[in-house]
Amino acid sequence: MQSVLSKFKEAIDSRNRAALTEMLPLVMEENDLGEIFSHGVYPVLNNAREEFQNRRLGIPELLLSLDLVSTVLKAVSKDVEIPKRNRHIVLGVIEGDTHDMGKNIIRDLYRGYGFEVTDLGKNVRVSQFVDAAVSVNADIVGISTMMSTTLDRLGEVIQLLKEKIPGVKVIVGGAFINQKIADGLKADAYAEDAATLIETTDGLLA
Amino acid sequence: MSQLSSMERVLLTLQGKETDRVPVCCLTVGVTRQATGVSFPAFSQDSDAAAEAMLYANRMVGDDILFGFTDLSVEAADFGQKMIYPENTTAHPDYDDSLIKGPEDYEKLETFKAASGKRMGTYLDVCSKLQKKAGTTVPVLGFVYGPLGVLGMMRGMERLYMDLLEHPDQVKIGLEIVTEVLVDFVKEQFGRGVAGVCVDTLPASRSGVAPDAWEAFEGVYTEKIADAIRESGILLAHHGCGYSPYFKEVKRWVNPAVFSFGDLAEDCKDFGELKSVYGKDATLMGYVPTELLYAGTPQEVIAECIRQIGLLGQDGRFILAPTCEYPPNATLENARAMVTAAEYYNDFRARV
Repeated sequence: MQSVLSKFKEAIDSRNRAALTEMLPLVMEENDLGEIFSHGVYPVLNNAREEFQNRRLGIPELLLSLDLVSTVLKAVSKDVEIPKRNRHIVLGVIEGDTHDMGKNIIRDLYRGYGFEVTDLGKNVRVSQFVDAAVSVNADIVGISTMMSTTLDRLGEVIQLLKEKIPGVKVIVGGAFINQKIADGLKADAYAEDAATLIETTDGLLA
Repeated sequence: MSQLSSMERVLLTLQGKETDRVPVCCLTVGVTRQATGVSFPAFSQDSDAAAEAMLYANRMVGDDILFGFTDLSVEAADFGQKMIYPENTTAHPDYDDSLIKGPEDYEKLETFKAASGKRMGTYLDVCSKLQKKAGTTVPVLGFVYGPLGVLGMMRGMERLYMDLLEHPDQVKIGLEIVTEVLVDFVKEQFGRGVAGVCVDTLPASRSGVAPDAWEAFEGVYTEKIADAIRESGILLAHHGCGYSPYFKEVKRWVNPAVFSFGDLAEDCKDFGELKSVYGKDATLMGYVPTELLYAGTPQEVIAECIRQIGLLGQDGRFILAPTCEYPPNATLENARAMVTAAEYYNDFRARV
């Protein structure tokens, strides 16, 4: 007979919000947090990233999977403290740009994998990035943009972050960014896609 | 071969015939403002200002197609989506105040005549002005944003993408309504004398939705727009700047005479295969990286253009163009470099 936990995982894998909502209370009642993460959340996230990378999953499916994982995280964090990696990431879309879908995918992935995330949203001013990063003593600042009109501000925020928090690592990403532009901006890494982001992040923090 | 006019060069290229050089379309849009000093808000909302900037930039750069496009917010604005017109960047929807707030709102969209829309009406005036001032020697290419993209401007792309999976029937009602207006919009562009219309379906790539989802949610609707363009007897172009674009599916539903692209087709292993599969009956248009146009030197741009002309320009049916809109805040210097590469291809080929 299929366990509640495996049905739960199947509900997220098949992106069935109704089934997930129905069984979530039971899953939380019968399983501890470690089991929910190791047998539910992490396999789903790993699978979604792999399927996306292998082109068996589109962006809508990835978005919905992450949205359902976020639902689980919200539900379980009401009762207990979710174990964190003790690494803080500040995320945002730079001022002048409102395209935040990519940033939201990254945010949900980071949270799913246990990072502490401060999401500043979109159209974020340079000073907001710096103030937030200083305030939480960020390990990583992730800055996204889909446009070329924002690159000057992107360079400005990276320079200021390096001055204020010498050890901070900055990851940049978005449609217009490539490795050459990231290098020119003096970013520590270029996030090419959601599938490889966690490995890129772990590499920076090693 | 003696020097051809832009119109002659483009028409011969589309027919797969010999030309004096590869035609160039720099997809200069927001950057054209630099030619006349007009602001971003005026460029989007003032047809005189937009047309004048486009004409000046075309004369300065010397490319072969006048790309009549201002920004992606035109269609959605006339459906009632609140827009923001920043001074320093392109107009965009106010995503904190989306017109479609929930799945139940798709069916509340209302059709209207494109010419009666404030932004579409302004855009049609741009087409008229470009056509009147330059259309006999330089082909004017009109533009329409694809139905899924327009809906995304009114719902937010992220929410729309999840609605495709959770509320597909409601989305399709919205797509029907939007498509009816877009069909009228392209017919009106034909009425302004444009030589062709370019349909932009960004989701038809790995940057968007899966191939089967694209066919179900955009291909089937875009076909109606494509039919309207073809029935008008003008050129049908398609633009898709996403990663790994779905040429096969776009050909099935749109079958454009020109594929404007930014990356290798999903079903091709290299650009040689792309040329042989899709570049025999249609004209390929691409694919100078916008990142290079923004950050590269003219020498680097010319080297890349020479490489691409050598790769795709043999036997005609190739227009040199960027992968997407020319970066709005780059200088026009690298647009000119693209034209220079085409003009002096043989000289440069010996050098690079």
